[in-house]
Amino acid sequence: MIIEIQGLIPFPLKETDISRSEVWGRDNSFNSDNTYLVSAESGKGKTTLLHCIYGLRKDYEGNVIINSDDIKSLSQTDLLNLRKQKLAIVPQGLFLFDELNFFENIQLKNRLTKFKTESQIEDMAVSLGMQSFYKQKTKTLSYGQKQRTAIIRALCQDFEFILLDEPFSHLDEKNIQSAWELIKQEADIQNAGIIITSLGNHYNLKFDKTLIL
Amino acid sequence: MLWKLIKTELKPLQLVGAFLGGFLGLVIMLCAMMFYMDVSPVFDDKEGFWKDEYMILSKKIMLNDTYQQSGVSKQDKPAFSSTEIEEMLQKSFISEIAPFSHCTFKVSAYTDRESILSGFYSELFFEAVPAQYIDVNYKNWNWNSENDFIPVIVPKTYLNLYNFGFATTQNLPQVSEKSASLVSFSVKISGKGKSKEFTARIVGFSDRINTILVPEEFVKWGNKNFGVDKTPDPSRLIVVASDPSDPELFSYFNQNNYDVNKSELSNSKALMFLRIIISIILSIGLIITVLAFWLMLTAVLLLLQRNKMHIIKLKIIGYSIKQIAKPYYWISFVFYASITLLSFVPLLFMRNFYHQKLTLLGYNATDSGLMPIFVIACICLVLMSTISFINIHLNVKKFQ
Repeated sequence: MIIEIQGLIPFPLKETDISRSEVWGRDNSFNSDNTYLVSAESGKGKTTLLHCIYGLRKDYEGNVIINSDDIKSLSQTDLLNLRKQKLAIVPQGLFLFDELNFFENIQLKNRLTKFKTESQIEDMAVSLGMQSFYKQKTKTLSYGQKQRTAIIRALCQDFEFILLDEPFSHLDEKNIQSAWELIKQEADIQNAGIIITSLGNHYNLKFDKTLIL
Repeated sequence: MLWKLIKTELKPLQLVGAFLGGFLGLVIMLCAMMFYMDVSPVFDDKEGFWKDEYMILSKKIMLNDTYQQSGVSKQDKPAFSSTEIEEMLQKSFISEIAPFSHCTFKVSAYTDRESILSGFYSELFFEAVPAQYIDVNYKNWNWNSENDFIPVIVPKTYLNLYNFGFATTQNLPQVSEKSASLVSFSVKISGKGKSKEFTARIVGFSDRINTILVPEEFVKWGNKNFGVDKTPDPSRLIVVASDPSDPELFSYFNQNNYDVNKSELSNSKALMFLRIIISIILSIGLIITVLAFWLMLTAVLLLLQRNKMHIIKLKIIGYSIKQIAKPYYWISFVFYASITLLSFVPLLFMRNFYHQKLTLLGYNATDSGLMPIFVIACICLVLMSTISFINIHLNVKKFQ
């Protein structure tokens, strides 16, 4: 999959100084063979970028092209299909369901895609240290635990690109390492690309390309 | 899992009002329709009432008619000539005309010694009208020259005259319609120097046609073989008006000195009142149903609104509009379907109730009502569900 962004400027960022940005107002293409880090300080539009790519917002000028289709021109049905089959996301807000427990949150996604077996889900939970929170209401999980839940959920689908919006902000070094390994491994199996946003590369992780917003 | 998400926001109490309203509205509406369908055939019944548009026309008999007809000149009795009938048929307000044919031979009736009415003898006359204008349902209302039996229809007023006038004052037994129909008698017709005997029996009593009726074929045959006049002009006509309230109709009759015998109690009027009342009830039921439906639709859309965040989140993880909307479709459908099914319970009770009443009154309400009502209820169900589905779909699509 190739994600191209052409001269993309979100309306809220139009008035700000974007002259030093490597992304805003420029042409970039993301190839699913690579891993990308999009690094920026707060308020530079990391979340906005991922939301534009994921089709969550349309208030920008320029184009976001996914596999030669302008994301704005896709019908809602096509867009939702794209999300189900090709684009995985760990949004910053996580968008978990507080009423459901850890396992139900994962299953809500996995029942849709029928992608992982229960034992595979369990393996992922074990690798991120979530096995003891299976039946716990998401409402009562810590933010770090919620992040791990959202990461496991995002991996329960086919994808050609996975978008991660500050996914490790509340994780310790050890958990970051295991989470990254899990994501990388899944992406490699699926020949998928990774776009991760962060306040900076504090993670000591290796990326094929780093872009400054 | 989706259900679990919806359940947290589901407030069943909100639906109770809509449920009761919908139930009540549907029951009223369907009841009115069913009652109308079941009962209106009673009014349309040929025997029970005669339609308003049918009237019997004769020529007015004047004072000098009596004088002239009994005099030496023996003037012809007033009758409708074929040109007069032709002319009448040309009028826009008359749609059909059927002549009364009368026999021009002598008829006498008597009973055998063995009969209960032994010793009865009377001179008679017969008339005939086309079978479709007769207000008595008798299956074998026909006759051919090989037949020795003649079915006879007499006016109900004759029987009443006998029962309440003659029988009571002369201390004779009263006769019911049924028992009068059981007695057969002999009929002798004569003319042109010959005569023939037949058996006859009363097969029905007419409310509207004030004459002694026999099948038309018999009168024709008799006139040909025994009568003085093979095809006499009819003295009375059955006229079917295209619009009985047309004022031109009556001015035309007056101008030509025609006498109209029109039924006073008109069924089509009763039917019209029934229609008005039923349509009022129907509209009330319809309004209640529509309001309740609207309430229900609003309740579901409100539920969608409360679940807005869930819907947005589900879309983020790739759920399609159809998948998200499905539980809401089900809530609506189960709601409407249970209202529809439940409304048949009081409906059947009602039906039983008025069937009993009608039977007491001597009418046979038909069973025609239930199937069309079921179809109508199903159409309502499909209609309400479809409108809901479309609204739910559009709302789910809207949230993103």
